Amino acid sequence: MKNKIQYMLGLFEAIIILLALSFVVTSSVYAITVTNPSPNPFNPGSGQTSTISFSVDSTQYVKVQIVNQFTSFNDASKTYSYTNVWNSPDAVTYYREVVKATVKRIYAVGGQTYSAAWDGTSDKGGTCNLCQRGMYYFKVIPENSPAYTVYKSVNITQWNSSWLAYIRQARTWLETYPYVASGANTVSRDDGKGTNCTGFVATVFREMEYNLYYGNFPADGINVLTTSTSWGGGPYMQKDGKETSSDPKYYTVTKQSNIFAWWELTKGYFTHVTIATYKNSNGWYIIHSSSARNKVYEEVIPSGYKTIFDKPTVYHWIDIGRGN
Amino acid sequence: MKRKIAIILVIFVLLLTFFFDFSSHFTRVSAGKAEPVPYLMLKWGSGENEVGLSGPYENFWYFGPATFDVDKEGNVYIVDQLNKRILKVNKKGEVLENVNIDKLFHYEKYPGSFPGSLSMPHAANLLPINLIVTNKVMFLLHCYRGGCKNEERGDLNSIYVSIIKDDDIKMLDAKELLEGPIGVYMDRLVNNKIVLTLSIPPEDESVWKGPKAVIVDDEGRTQIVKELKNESFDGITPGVKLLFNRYKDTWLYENARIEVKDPETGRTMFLSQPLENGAPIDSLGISFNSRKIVMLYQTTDSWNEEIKTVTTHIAVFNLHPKTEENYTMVIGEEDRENILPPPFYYKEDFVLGEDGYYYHILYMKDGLLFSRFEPEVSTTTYQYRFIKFTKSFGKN
Repeated sequence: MKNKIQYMLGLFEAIIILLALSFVVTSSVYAITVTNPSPNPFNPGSGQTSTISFSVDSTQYVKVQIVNQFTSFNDASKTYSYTNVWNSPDAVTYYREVVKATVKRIYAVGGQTYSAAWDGTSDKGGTCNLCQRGMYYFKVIPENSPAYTVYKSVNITQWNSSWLAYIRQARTWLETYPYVASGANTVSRDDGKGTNCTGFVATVFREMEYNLYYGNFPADGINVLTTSTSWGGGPYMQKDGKETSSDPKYYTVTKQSNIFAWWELTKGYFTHVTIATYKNSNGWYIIHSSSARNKVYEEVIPSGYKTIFDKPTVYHWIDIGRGN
Repeated sequence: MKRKIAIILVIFVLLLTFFFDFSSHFTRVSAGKAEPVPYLMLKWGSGENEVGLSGPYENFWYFGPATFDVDKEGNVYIVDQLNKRILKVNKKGEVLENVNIDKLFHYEKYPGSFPGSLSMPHAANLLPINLIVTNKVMFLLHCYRGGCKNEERGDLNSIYVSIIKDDDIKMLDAKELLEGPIGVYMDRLVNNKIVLTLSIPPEDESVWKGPKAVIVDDEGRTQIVKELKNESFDGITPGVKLLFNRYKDTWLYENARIEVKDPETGRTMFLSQPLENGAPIDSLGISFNSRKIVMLYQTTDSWNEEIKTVTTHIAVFNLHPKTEENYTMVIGEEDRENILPPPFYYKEDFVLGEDGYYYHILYMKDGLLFSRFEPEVSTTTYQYRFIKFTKSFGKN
């Protein structure tokens, strides 16, 4: 019996020692070394890429992402408070904004050096979707120990005028879903959270470092953006006029990066807001959070708009200007 | 004797030269009205010869068929996505084929119902853009509503071309093939092939590194097109080019002419007269089936604000024999009375059928109406070089 107890105690002690040893092993600090991005700043518009090198001392998977400057490093959401068009307190919540979820994911052998290059594109929108000027971060995540994630900032130079940068930035939202009906005060690139039309238009502006402390507004409230209000620094927009033709082929006021406010004929007020991106032989293209598409989408102005909406009223962000 | 033979030979050569010159410079130019004549009506529903419609959404717009094609016999192929099928219907409304496209719907795990989104049927997740029917297969260009996912493929956030042969469907990612443009378009080539072309913003044209187009055959094999040969994508199917001068600082075209070149030699096979005698026009699209070209365009006074009418011009060009036809179509308020608003993603409501006729579809209150443009010629001009002969018919 005594032998049995001693044997059990010995076994218990061995288990404790093994557990302690495994704790020491697993809790050992993973060294991760990441070089500064090069070149920095870089210009994706001329085909440049920016590269980092990294190494870990313990073999494991390492993932490299690109996040933008609005990302909370702890991945928490951010809430901004503002005064809405009815002069009531309101708030909008932004979630984390990962620009490119995976630049590289590699099974990194301890002590070896690896590199990851970013071409300035985001996950959404394809090749025509080069990120606009501003600061981004390489986020290097050692997957066994994410607490040791390293951020390295990289700048994209402004490679074209700001109205074009606004369109570029809008394209980093392409395919974000779903379309969220007005009144839902969340704006997020994350799948399944999405944005409404005005939240999209306003957030792209805010992402360009302009102080617009609200993320969405009723489409009908677009007029308020043209006047100085209690919204923290307006006026934000200038009215360029109203188109005189119902056919987008004959728009004369519109230029690239203009904001279209769409007056719904049966309702008698503005119900939709879109950004004009470019025109070719197919007609004017818009980018918008579309209820029919249930996502942020760039397309020729749908033919149905002729029968549903009045001719659009045309605005531009004063700080951004407008294009060709 | 030898002299006689020589004279006969000279006459023969002269006749031959004249014949070739005549055939390449003789053009028949017709003008008149083109009335859309009802061709086929399919009622809304899920029955054997009906097509699905849902809505209205947000109190005004409908979801339903958006693309169709017409074969040499005048049979209509319509993508009836709400009933998950493509119907082949003859002029009498009899269903000749019913092709199941259930494999294109990926909604098992993600039913497509997200907070704030419209409550739509599952089948509404598929958004057809363009259908081309060949002797062997059907090519369907399509995309998906946001939120629709597939476990195998991940997000379906692209534009796809599906090659449909009976129950077998092969799906290719068109945006991936074209390296990520904003938009993708599909056109017919000869030998049961199609070509995918792209739309990119003007400011990207100088830095665009991707292909010009991608050719897809009936087996799903692809061929990247880096450069066009005499406006032709495949070196066999002639390409159509719109020659024009930019009108002032606008997107309108001045002195617009249609040109078709021989893909092999680069020789001009067809050159039209200037459209609208050179006045500014705006193109609404060009269709070409290797024999006939149809161009839809409007002029600066097409939209009449006072009487709310829209005038659209339909120009038809035949390559052999060379003919040019110019028709006008006027749509007014009374024409719109029984028309429902179209879906927001309407893509191919006008189609040049393989039978040589021009068709379009409209959402009517009762069902889907296919109309065929029946031209009514009022004047015909025969033109050989600078010699013209004009003939009028009835009242102009």
